[in-house]
Amino acid sequence: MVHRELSSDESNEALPKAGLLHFWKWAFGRYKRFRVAGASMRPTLEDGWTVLVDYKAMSNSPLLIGDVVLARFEGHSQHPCIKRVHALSADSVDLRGDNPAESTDSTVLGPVPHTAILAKVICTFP
Amino acid sequence: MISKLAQSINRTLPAPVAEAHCDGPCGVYDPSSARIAAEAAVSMTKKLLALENNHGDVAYHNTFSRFVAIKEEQAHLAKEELLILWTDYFKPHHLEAYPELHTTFWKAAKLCSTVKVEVNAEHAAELMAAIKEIHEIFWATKGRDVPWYTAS
Repeated sequence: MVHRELSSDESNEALPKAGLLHFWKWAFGRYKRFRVAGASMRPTLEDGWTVLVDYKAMSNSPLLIGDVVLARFEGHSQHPCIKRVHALSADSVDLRGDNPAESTDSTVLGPVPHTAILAKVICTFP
Repeated sequence: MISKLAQSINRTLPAPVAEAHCDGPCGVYDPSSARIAAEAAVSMTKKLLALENNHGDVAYHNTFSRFVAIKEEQAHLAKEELLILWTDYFKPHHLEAYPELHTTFWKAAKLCSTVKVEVNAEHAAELMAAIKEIHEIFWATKGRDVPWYTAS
């Protein structure tokens, strides 16, 4: 059962730039860096940008509609992908790109189980 | 300062990739690709059946060969387009709504092979009917009413 879907005012919500605390957490291994490859998250994330992700975020706070996440579409690619949580149910997560014209996401690949969500994207770096 | 430091780190320590791509076709699927190829194969089938036999004429052999080559090429292309649609676009939840989906695609793909091998107007018409059925299922899954049409 779908609890809720992303509303128009929640879509394309910008990510903060890394601050001192983010940098600190990266330096001590809590956050990991990833380089964005592709344009499916424009304008939130441009191709080539670097982001910090938190693999432990879901143990501290639940996954929310509008979160930008690192996830895996099983059998789709060897690399994880970055998408935004569009809708949530008890069993699955619907992921979408912010740039639907150039995004292969749940609209094509179907929703993913919660276990496919690897981390939350925290901020851009820088 | 953080910004410059981060830029310097990004330059010197490459980060692993997180994909934000689309696939080659950007999630854009349309059975019309298969329909156009199938129509070409059907057209070549009709032209072959209408071709007047003149075995002593070089021009006849040239035309006959061209028609056969195009028919085989386009029938194969139609099959490829159908297989892409079947395996890449359609998902398990579509199968729940259309339990006959696999059979429909399997029959359509087999008809592509039949049209490629034979010169048979009846089987060519069956191929077009099968693609029409796929067109209707495909657009129904998208919640859109796209009328069926042919170019010829």
